Formats: sequence, C-alpha cells, structure tokens
Amino acid sequence: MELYRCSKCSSEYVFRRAVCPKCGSKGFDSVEVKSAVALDSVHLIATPEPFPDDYRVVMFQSGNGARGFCRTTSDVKRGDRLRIGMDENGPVCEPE
Amino acid sequence: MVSIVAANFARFGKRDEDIFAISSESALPIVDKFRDVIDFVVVSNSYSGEFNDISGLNNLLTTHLAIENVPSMRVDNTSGSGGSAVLVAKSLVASDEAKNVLVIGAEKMTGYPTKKSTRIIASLLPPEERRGGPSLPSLAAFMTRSYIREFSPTRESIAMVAVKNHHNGALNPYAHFQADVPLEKVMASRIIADPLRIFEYCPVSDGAVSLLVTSDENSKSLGNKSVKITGTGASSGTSSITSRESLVSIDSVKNSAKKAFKSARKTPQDMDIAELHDMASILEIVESEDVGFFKKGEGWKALETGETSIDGRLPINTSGGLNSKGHPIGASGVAQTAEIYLQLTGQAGKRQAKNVSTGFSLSMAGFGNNSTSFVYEVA
Repeated sequence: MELYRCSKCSSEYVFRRAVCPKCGSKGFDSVEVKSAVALDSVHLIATPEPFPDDYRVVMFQSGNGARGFCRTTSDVKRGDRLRIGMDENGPVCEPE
Repeated sequence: MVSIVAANFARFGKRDEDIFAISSESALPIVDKFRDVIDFVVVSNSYSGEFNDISGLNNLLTTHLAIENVPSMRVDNTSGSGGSAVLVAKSLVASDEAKNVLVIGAEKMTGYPTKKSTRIIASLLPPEERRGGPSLPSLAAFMTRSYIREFSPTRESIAMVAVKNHHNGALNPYAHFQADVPLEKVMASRIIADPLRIFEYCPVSDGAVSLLVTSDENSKSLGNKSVKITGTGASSGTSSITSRESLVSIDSVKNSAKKAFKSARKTPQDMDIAELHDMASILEIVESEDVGFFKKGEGWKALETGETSIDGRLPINTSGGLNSKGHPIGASGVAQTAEIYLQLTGQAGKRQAKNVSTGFSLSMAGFGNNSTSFVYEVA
C-alpha cells in the first residue's frame, strides 16, 4: 500500500494532500507500507458498493504514525500486527 | 436581529412523489401566504445529482413554484446542508441583501439498493480512506467502541437514544417512523456495524421542509408567530477520520457551539430544548457533551435518568431526531430549525415540551467535518 511522506518533515499520510499540515511543505514522496498495527476494527454488515458483503473495517497505524483503513475477513483485535496488501478495491489486511 | 416566522413540513419517509412535489408540499403554504414579499430562495440539497439526475435544483424549484423571478441558490454541505442554508439565509437578511428568504430543505433518496445509497453517502470521505471500505455507519461504530472503552457507559443507555427518539417520532406526524420501539427490540435488532444495531441508525428517507426567514422588524408586519436566531456558529474540522486525535469528541461540534453561545451571550445551561444530529445513537450522546450540556463521558447518564425526554429538564430531539424522523440529507438541518420554531411557538402538537423559550440546534456535515450551531429565543 502506498503512503505519502512529507519530503521536509517526514510525516506520513495515507491520503495525498497539497500541503503538509505539520510543516507546510508541498513536496511528498511515495513510500510503500507492508505492515501496521490495528487500532480497532468494526464488523460491518451493510457495506457500500463496490465492496463485498460482510467484512471487518480495520483502523490501522503504520510504524511512522500514518493511519488509515483496510478490509479483512479475519478476526482482528486491537494491537494485532497486520500485513497490508491491496486488492482491486483498495487496502486489505491480515493478522501476521 | 433575524427571525423565523413560518415553518412547514412535507412528511419524511418513503414517498412515491418526486422531489418537486415533495418540496412544493412543504413550500407552498408559505409561498401562498408570502409570495409578494419573498425576495430570495435558498435550497438545501446535497444529492439531487446522484439520486435524481437533477442539477440546478434551486432554479427548477423556483420555476415549479412560479416564483422564477426570485433569485435563488442551492447550498450543498452534505448532511450539514440545512444548517448552512439557514446560516446563508440569516446572513442574507442581516446584510440587507434580502428581506424575506424562503429556505427549502429537500432530498429524495429512496428507491435505490442500500449498498448504492451507502456508497453515495460515503463519497464525502477522503478517497484514500474510502478505499479501505468504511461506511458512515461504520465510523459511528468506531466511535461507540472508543466511547465504551473510555467511559464505560451501559450498552443499554446508548440504545436508549433510539427508544427515546422513536417515542418522540411516534408523536410527530411528519416523522418517517410512527411507532415506539422498546429497548429489548432495539437490543435484539440486526447488527449493521458492530456494536450498533439497525434501530440505532437513521433510515434512508425522502422529505422536505420550508422556513421563512426575515428581519425582526419585518416579522411584526408579517403577522405570524416568530422566533429569533440570537446566536450562530460555524466550524470545520478535518475530513480525515483517521487523522483525528480523538474519536469520542468532535472538534467542529465543540467549536461551532461555543461560537453560537458566545454570539447569543448564553450558556448551554440556559437552553430549554435542543435538536442534535443523531445519525447514529452514539452521536446524540457525544454531541450533547461536546455542545456543553453534559460533562465529557457523562451524556449517557441523561438517557437513564430521562433528563433528555420530552418531559425532562432538557428535551433533546423532540422531533424524533434523524433516528426516527428520518434523514433526507438536505432537509435535516432545516428540519431542526423548524422543530425549534414549532416548539418555541407552542405549535408542536403531541410532542410539545413545556415552558420552553430558548432552543439550540446542531447541523453536522459528514462525520463532523463541519458543523453549524444556532441559538434561538422566543421573540
């Protein structure tokens, strides 16, 4: 999964911004994240298009503090270490 | 000072009519009476493009109502469109740009599979967050889990928001749901996003509501009962849920309420009644704390004591709230103002609260990306 790292202060974000909210820099580098820690997860039954029915949405945090969401069909608990990957719809994850 | 002098609802729920018919059902009683003096129309609507294949709804609506020579605009601020529209109307009058503004809040959302509606509404999230699969209801579930971890409320107290608001909705002829739902039924109902259940979420609804906003001076000559808008506050926060420091508090809610109370020279404890944005049960509790009605972490106790019931010290969501009245997105914030108007003028029928002369409403966009708060007083 791709993250955006501020080229000046090294803050990382899951989503692209025009300006770094921490230092005001406009330069970002793309970095790959392959693992993260689960902050919490929610079992979602009524899911939006284009996703499949019935999965867990996991809020994760990367080693450098970037936070985002990924999907999984596994039972994920707070504090679990995750492997992050991608499918055709977006980030997916599994407990390590 | 700016006042509201009329409010009229078209019933919220699953409606067979199109958005023009629903909108005019709410607006025509006001237009018929004040046609000659309405000099601006503000239409609150968020998804006419996505749900109805319509753009420029304000121009089409004024033509439909045969007031096409009156200038108009459409305000879109997702779930907070209604509050923004009322703020625009208030500002038009306060700046003397207009004297009598018709506000129409309208949305036609039913008729699509839930999965599609959920996608359309989730389009307000940052694209990269959205690709991870959250829905707006799932964000409320994350909030609930955090709130339970941090403050240890009883699970039943959170569900009691749905019990209270369905009771209020059953007393409101314009509400989507017209029946009480006991706690046992809420707690046994289908899970949508763990731990929240279907009765704890607002339904997908159609609906419309209209207001006439005017100057305090004009209100006397128009002959209707009036309510003053004495405080306003608008505030924004990040659209990125995962960037927030806390999931049990919403900055835009806190800041907009603070501004509104300051401009009205009132405190939260001065309020007699309130309408909050209860898209999910937990939101009413969190907002009631962020607004300042209760200490952080203690809002759930008011559900157990009945403090926020119609006959309690501070009735919240006497209309049924979004939870029971329904959430036709562009109409919701306007409907909150309309409910406070009806309550403060003694026109709320079976759900009328006693001895109310001050009121508060919170219109919230997205999952707190943006909020607009109002303080009202009897003229």
